[in-house]
This record gives sequence, structure tokens and C-alpha cells, in this order.
Amino acid sequence: MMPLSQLASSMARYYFSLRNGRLFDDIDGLELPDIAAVRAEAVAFARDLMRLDYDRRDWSQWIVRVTDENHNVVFDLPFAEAV
Amino acid sequence: MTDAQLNGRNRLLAALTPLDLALLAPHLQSTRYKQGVVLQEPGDPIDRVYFPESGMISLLAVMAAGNGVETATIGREGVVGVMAGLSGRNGTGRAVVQVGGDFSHIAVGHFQTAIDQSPAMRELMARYNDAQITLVYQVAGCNALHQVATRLCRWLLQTRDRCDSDVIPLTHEFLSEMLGVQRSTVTVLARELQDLGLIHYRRGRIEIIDRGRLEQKACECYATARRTIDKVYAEPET
Repeated sequence: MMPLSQLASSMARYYFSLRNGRLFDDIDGLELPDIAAVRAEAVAFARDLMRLDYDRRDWSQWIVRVTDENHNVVFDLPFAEAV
Repeated sequence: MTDAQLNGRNRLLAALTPLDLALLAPHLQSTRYKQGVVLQEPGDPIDRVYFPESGMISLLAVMAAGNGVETATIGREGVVGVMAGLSGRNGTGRAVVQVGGDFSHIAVGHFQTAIDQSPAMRELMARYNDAQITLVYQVAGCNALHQVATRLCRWLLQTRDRCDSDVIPLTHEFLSEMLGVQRSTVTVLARELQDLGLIHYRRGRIEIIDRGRLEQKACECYATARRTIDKVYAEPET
């Protein structure tokens, strides 16, 4: 297990891609401190896209897929859960 | 600073007559600042006036919670802190170095003494100050009314003009703050522009590939802002 001191400052890179509604692969990623920040980014990302694409009505298929440095899926966030 | 050291890249300094420039030159200094250096906090007295020779300063409106939003960016076409020279007021926003570079600066007392001796220089500084206020109005309208993708195009072009380079070192954080969207959203927007062949984008380094088409995609505010600044330097109509 990682020592607490190291855990507190362990920034890691996460990738925020889109699936189903639209295919988008994030190859840049963002450095974030913890899973709470990762979830907050995913929710705000989905809200941004729903806010910015005024004409679209149906977001039910859209998903934010968060992956880590090793291409493992951290979680999928359906847009419906970000409303 | 001697005349030889004044490289004349700042458009305001370059527009001064030799006599007016001679009033400022003995008191001008040049400093290289890196990205992120805070030059001015809101409410503090302004003690220096900055003339960027390269790089870019952004002015942010700071809210009580500490978060901010972009109100203006100033490069070598302008000056930061000129209001203090004209009226002795305190700073209204936070001034941060957004793109590192060389910045000429002068103590505000020396600046005031100089413009008190030259009505022509005072007039030029006042014209620039008026243009800056016009641009802030424009940004307020743009932030409220224009789509985020067209606003991104405008900021890229504007930063290109400020830095005089097609390669512009803007971070995710900077663009997301300017546009008021998440960093992931910036990635999506930048990729769209890349897929159209307008820019090349990788982790905070953006290269403009097709400036003409980027201008077509930018909102009207880019052209309006350029005209507003050019008018400052235009010969007075007779």
C-alpha cells in the first residue's frame, strides 16, 4: 500500500473520452489529484457539452469514458447522470 | 535605458516622437517575466506602467471567491497601467503574465512627469486607454453572446497577434479560464479545429496552420478588436 504522504500528493493523468453518442478519444489527458476531482471533471465536461450544443435534444446514448495511464477504464459516466 | 536598448517592438513606444521617447527613456527598464507572474492585484496602487516588448499580459476580473475571468489581453500593441498615469487611480483587476517575454516598465511617478510635459503623449495614452475600455465592452458582449468555438478561434488569433508567432504556448488552464469551460471541453474544441486543418494541437502547445480559415471561423470580435487598436495608431483625420 502507498504511504499516506505519497497518496496525498499523487497527481495522476486521466483521459476523458466520449462513447456511443459520439466517438472522441482523448490523447492529452489531465493531471488530477484524486478520484473526486476526476468525477467532478467528468460531470462538468458532460454538462459543458450539453450546454454548448444547443440544438441537440437527446443525450441518452452519450457517455464520458474515463481511463487511466494504462488504458484501464476508471468509470463510465452516462450524460443522464450528469444533469 | 539607452535608445540602443529600446528595441522598439512595443507599438506605443514606437509611435512616440523622438522627443517624447526621450522623456521616458532614462527611466525605462526591461525585465523578462515568465508565465504566471502576477504584476498587479486589484485595489493595489499601481506603481509601474508596463509596455510589453514580447509576451502577453492578461487582465482578470477577480470575484470575491477568488476565481477570475479574462477581461483583456495586452501584448506589444499596448500598455498596462496607463490609467494610473492619467488619473492616479488604483488597479481595477489582476494583471498576470500569460505568455512570458520581455516587458519594458517605468515607475508611475516618472510616467506622470513625462506625460505632464507632453500633451501629444498624453493624448496618445488617452486614446489607447479609450480603446482598451471599448475592447472590454466587446469582450463582455462576446462572452455572453458568441459560441464557444468561435470565441476560441478569436483568442487563438489574438494571442497570435500579441506574440507575433504561429506557435502559441497556451495551457489548458488558461484557455478554460478564458472561455469559461472545462479543460476536457477545450480538448474537444481544439481537436475539432485540428480535424479541420486549422491548427495543430498537443498538450498546451498550439500551432496555427491555416490563419485565413481560422479568421473565417472566428467571431466578428477579432476583426473589431484589430480595427479598434489600429485606430489608436492611425494618423488623425484632417
